[in-house]
Amino acid sequence: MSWVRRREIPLIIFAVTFLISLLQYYLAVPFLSEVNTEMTNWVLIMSTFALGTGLIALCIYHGKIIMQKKSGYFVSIILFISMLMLFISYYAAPSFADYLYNEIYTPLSIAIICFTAFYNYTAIYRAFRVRNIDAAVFAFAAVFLMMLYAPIFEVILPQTATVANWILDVPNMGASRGVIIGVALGTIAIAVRVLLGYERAYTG
Amino acid sequence: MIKSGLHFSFVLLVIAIALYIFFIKYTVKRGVPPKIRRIPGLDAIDEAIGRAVETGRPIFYSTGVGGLSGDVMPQTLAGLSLLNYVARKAAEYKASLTYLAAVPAIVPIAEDMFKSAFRENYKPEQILYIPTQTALMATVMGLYEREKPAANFLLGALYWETIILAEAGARAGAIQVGGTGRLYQVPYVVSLCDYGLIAEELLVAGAYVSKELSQLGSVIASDIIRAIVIGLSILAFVLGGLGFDISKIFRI
Repeated sequence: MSWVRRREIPLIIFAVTFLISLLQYYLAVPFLSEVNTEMTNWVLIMSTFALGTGLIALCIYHGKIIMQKKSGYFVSIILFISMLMLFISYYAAPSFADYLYNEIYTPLSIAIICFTAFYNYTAIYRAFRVRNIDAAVFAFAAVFLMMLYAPIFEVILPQTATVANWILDVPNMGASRGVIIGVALGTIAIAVRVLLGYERAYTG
Repeated sequence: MIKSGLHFSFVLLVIAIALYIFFIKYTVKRGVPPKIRRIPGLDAIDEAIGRAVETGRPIFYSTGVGGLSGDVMPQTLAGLSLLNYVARKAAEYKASLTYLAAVPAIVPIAEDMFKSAFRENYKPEQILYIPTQTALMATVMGLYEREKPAANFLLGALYWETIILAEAGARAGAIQVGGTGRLYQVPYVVSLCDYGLIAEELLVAGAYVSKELSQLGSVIASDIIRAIVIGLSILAFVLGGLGFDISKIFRI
């Protein structure tokens, strides 16, 4: 690919779309809003096309795996069967498609998500080991916040809610705002670097 | 012409952009890199790669499920900048690196990075595309248990998958470097990873590891703008205490 295609075209596309999106937010110019709406529609159309090409690429990739009987090729067969089943049922019997989604996909997803509960416990154990002063502060704050959400503590020790709410409203709020400002500044910095052509991570 | 209520923020944005452009150009022209503070999390990247080489175990890298659109885009770009650095280092030391891609738009970008870093040693299997967050979590739980990675990098716009990725890495005994600007995931990164990058630390990571003058210049501008913001906050606080509400000016 030539230098012009590699670097200049993505940069121009980024600069034009970025400036239009930014300026339409600040300026009361109807033309800019219209162009921005149009661009958003383009994104939807391009995404749909990308989905189509993705489907073709997926079929070619898994088709090759099945033809060459590579290891795990049965998974590719399952993929084709599931895909065809869903595709046909969405047109022939929509209620069956809903059944497949609600009774197979959703419970499987929920089962995976349930694993996070166990991971949460071990993660909390890891986090609460007081190794240094930072971890001690973290554990102290977390214990008070857990007490806030367990109503029994508020009955036994009403002061816990006061301390926990103070932690949430004062140090937590201040730190959160600091993080938000830092991210916002970093965002502007990256946008400017991309506009000037110094940041090229998005082009590979 | 400027919408009502946005005058002040527009002026501030223009000043910020002007400062960024000035300091980026100035630093590039001057040719002397400015001094920036040490970030242990970024210094640990080389250490983690070295450990993977010594033990012969793989490295896994994820930028989370955050994509290349919306307010998380800069974090994903920062994660990709670091992926580029890690890929080059891994290729140099012949370490095994796998990128867990959860966003289709990132796959071709990562492929390009890996191809230019690993050249003839590049294998398509190095980029593992996992289409949804649930699938990513399920894959990681099994993959880390089997492969026992030596290093695990979680750098980008991380969502709910953070806890699974970081905990699975911790269980496997991997040295972990995590970083995100997403507020609700910061505690997980800090508590579960050996080295954590909080918010802007991730966004300056590209500048830190590459030592590129343009990127380092933007760090100076960020510091100046931060000083302005802190100054404005203190002014609002002091004047507010004296009975003058200057917050109305911010909403002009």
